[in-house]
Amino acid sequence: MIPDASQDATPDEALLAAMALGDETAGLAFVRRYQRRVYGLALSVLNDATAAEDVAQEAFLRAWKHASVFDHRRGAVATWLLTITRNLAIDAVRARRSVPVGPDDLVWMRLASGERSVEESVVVADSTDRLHVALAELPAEQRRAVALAGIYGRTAAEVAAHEQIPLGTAKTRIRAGITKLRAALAMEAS
Amino acid sequence: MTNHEMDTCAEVSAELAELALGVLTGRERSIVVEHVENCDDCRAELEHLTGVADALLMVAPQAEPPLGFELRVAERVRTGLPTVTGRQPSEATPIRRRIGAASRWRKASGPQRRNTLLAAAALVVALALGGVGLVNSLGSGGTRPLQASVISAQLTSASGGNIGEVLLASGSPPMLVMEVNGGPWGQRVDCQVQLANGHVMTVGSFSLSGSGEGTWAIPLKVGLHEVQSARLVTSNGTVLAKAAL
Repeated sequence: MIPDASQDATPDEALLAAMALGDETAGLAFVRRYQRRVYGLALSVLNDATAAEDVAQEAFLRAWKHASVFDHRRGAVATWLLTITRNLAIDAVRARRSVPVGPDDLVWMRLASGERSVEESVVVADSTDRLHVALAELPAEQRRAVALAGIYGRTAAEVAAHEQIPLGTAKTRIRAGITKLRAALAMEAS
Repeated sequence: MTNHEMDTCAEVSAELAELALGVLTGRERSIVVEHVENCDDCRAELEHLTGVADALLMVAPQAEPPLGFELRVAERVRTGLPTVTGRQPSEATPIRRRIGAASRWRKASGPQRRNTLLAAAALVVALALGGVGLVNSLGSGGTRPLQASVISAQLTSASGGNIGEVLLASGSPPMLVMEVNGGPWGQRVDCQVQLANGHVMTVGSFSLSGSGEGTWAIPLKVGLHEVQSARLVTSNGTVLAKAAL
């Protein structure tokens, strides 16, 4: 039996292993640990609370169902879970054929400013912290292109349409933004 | 590296960011993926960019879900579980998969704990039999008939430590309940029984949790009086622990 592990240091992998054996307590702890990230990501992409909860629930269900086959060598649990969430949210957006994201959204402002709550400041890993800073330092148009593609799952053509720019320019902005983020992370790490 | 390869790398590198972000589609994606599979430099670059793409998800805004979110997830997991009916008799059933309130009985000890374990085992059997067993086992007679024919023993590791408990309970079918605490983390293990005639049978196999724990109820095809001992064995045949019954 694993106690309330949402706040303790029980490794994600241990929670997943217990979930794979049907331990509901571990599953609840896992959900509590990541529900703000999962729901927040879904809400960012969908901009609809009901649809976001559906997607967030489905993401956790899939994680629970596939807990036994999670391979830690392929990446962190958080990344795995958030990738599932992102893909489900993008599928939901495409199913609705809607594009709910706009550059004036609060989401953009928060990404742009790099601001976050005290709680987030405590829990974010160093690399995540550095990425916030690096994102804030990107030119605004590159930051939007990177976020539209990386978080909202927009293709270069969709970014071009959203930003009303040529396809080649959209591709260049995505590439330049990611390359700068990579350089910033590598520089900080070295 | 040939000039042709260098040209291809230059062309592909322009698309690697989009591939890493998961937004490259169609023919473009096929060309880049095929090249990356055969080019160490581009593959290494893609791995770096994928790291950035993964980190990007961690900076997405967070938000508090509606009240009771985690309970609704758990409810969906519970109702989405496959039914027990139709399971192979030799398949070990993790008790906690069926008994939601596992945390209560895991803290109990002595006779109280044993009773609850047996109730859990009986419930598993009842579920497997479509509910009939539940009525017979836990009806007017309570658990007394089961208690009357219980055999239990400590599960002792090769080094002499106690790493769990094994219980045999009469019933139709008879049940073996194995509880392991402090076994090898996350390992797949077999539960074997040795019979009076010397034969060794593997009666179930299961995975221990990340903390080396697990509790299973295993229906037996042999009578209780035939079972001499039970043991926990790794996939390569090493005996981890034994219980003389």
